[in-house]
Amino acid sequence: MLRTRSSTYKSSSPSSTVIIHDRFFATIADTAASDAAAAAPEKMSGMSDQKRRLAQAALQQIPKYGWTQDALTSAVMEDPQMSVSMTGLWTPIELVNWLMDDWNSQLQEKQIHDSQRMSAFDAIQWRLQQVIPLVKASRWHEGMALGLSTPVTTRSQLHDFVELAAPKDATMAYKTGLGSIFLSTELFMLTDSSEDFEATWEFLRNRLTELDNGKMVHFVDMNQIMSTISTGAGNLSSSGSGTNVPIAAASAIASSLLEGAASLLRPPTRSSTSHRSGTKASDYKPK
Amino acid sequence: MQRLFASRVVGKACNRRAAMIHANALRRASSNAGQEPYLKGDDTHFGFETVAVNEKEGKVREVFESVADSYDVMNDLMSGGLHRYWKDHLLDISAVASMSDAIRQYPGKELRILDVAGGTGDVAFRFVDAAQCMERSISSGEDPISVTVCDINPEMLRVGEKRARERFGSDLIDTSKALSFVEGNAQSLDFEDNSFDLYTIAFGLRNVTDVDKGLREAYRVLKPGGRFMCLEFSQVSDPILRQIYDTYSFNVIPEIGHFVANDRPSYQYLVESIRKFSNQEELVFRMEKAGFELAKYSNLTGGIVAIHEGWKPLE
Repeated sequence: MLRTRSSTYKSSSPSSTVIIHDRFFATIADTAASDAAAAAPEKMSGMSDQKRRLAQAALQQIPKYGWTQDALTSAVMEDPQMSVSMTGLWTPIELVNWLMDDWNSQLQEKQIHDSQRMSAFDAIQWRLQQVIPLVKASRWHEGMALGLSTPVTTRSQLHDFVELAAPKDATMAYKTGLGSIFLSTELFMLTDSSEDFEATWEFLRNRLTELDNGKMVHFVDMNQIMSTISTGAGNLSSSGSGTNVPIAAASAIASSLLEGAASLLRPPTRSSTSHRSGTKASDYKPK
Repeated sequence: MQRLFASRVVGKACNRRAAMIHANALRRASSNAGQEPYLKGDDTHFGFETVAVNEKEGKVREVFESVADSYDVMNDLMSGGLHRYWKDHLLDISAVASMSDAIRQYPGKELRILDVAGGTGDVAFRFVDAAQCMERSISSGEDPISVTVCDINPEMLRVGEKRARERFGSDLIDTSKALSFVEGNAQSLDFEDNSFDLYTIAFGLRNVTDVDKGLREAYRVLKPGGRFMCLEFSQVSDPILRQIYDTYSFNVIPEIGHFVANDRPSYQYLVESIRKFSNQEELVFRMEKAGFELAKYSNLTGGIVAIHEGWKPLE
C-alpha cells in the first residue's frame, strides 16, 4: 500500500526556491538559445500572451502534424487574430520544453497547500494523464525524443517534477526511485492499449509499492540517472549489485529506451502531410 | 560538408551559451549600451574613420557600388562559405517554407516578405525557392506570396535582378510578381505602414547610418504580428576565438579584397564596420526601443554573426 506522507508537513519546503532557480537558468541556457529577454524575467506584453495562446492552440494540431513547424503554422492560420509570421514565436523543441514547464507549474499550483498535497501516485498519475491525448495520437514518443535534444532543460524539468511529486520528507534515494519509476511508467504508457490505461496505473502502483517496501537502491543517486539520460552513456546496472533489481532495471531501461527514442524517433521538422509518398503508378511497372 | 562543419562550430558554441548569456545578463544590467541614440552629434563612424553623418550614406554607397559584381564571390572567400550556412539558418528559422505551404492552402491569404539591403538576392532567392514561387509562376495570376528586395544601391539591385532572371526566368518578376527589386533607403522606406509579414535584413543593418531610424522604419512597415529578423556580424565573446577571428579579418580579408577584387579599402571598411556595430545586447535594446516585443538573438559560429528577431505587437 502507498503511504501518504503529505499531511505530516505543514511548512513549505525551501526546495521550491531551488526549483525555480534551476528552471530559470536552464531555460536561459537551452531554449532561448540566447534569449536575451530571458536574462531578465520576461515582461508581460501582448506578444507574450499571444505566444502562450499559440502554444495551447498548437497542441491541438500536434496529432495531425506531429511536432513540426507546420503544426504551429496551422494553429496560427486558424486563429483570425494572429498573423502568419507569428508561427516563428516557437520552434517545436521550444514547444515541448514549454509544455513540460507548464505541467510542472500546474502541479506546483496543486501542491502549494500542504494539507491537500497529492500522494506520489496521484501526482505521477496526474502528470501522465496530461500526455494521454498525445499518447493516443502516437505523438508523445516524438515529444520525448525532442525533449531529449535539450538534455539540460529536460533534466532540470524532470528534477523539478520529482521534487513536486515526492512526499516532503522523502530522502534523496526515494526521489531517485521515484524519478526512475516516473520515466519507466511513461515509457510503459506508450505501448499500453488497456482501457483507460489501467495497465499503466497498475504498473505505477506496483513499482511504488516496491519502492515503499524498501526494494530500492540506496546508492544510485538522482544525478547519476539524470546524467545517464542526458548522455546515454551510463550503465546503471553495473553500478551496484544484488538488491537493486526493480529500480536499477527500470532506470537502465528508461535511459536506454529514451536514448533509443532520441535517435530513432526524432520527428521530422516539417510535417509530411503535404508530401505523401504513397504507391505510385511507376511502382507497378513490370521488372 | 561545409554545413556539417558549421554545425559543429555552432554546437560547441551552444555549450558555452549558458555561461555567455549569464555574462551578458550581467553586462546588460551594468551597462547602458543601447540607451543612447545611435547617432550623437554631427559625426558618426565609417569603419574606423569618423565622418560627418550626412557623408556616411554616400561612402557606403561607393563601397557597395565597387563590390557589387564580386560581392557574392567575395562573401564565399571571406567567410569560407559560412555565409551560406548562416543564410540557410536564417531561412530555416524564418519558417518561410511552412508559412508558404499554409498560405497556398488558404485562398485569399498572402505572405509578403521584405528583404532590405538584399541587393544581390542571396537571401531573397532562398525565400523564393522555399516558397516554391517558381512552380507557382507557371499558373496564371499573381502569386499570393511575394518577396521584395529593397536596396539603396542600384548597382547591387542590377546584379540581383540579372541573376534572378537567369535563375528563375522572367515570369517570376514580370507575371506572377513573386519577386521584385525596389531601390530604397532603410531609414525611409517607400512602403505603406503595416504592409509586410516578415522583414529581413542580412548583413545590412550595420551599414545603415542611423540604426534606430532603420529599426523604426522596419516596425512601421511590418503588419501587426509581423516579424523582424536581422542577420548581422556581431561580437565574439570567447577570447580565443575572438583573437583568431580578429587576426583573420584584419589581415586576411583586406588582402583577399586586394587580390580578388583589386579593392582593398572597401574590404577594409567591411571588416572595420563590423567592429563598430552594436553588440548583441545593445541591438536587443534598440529593437525594444523601436517597439518590438519578445526581442531576442541567437549566436551562430560563436557570435561571429547573430540573428536578432522581434515581433510587432498585435493591435
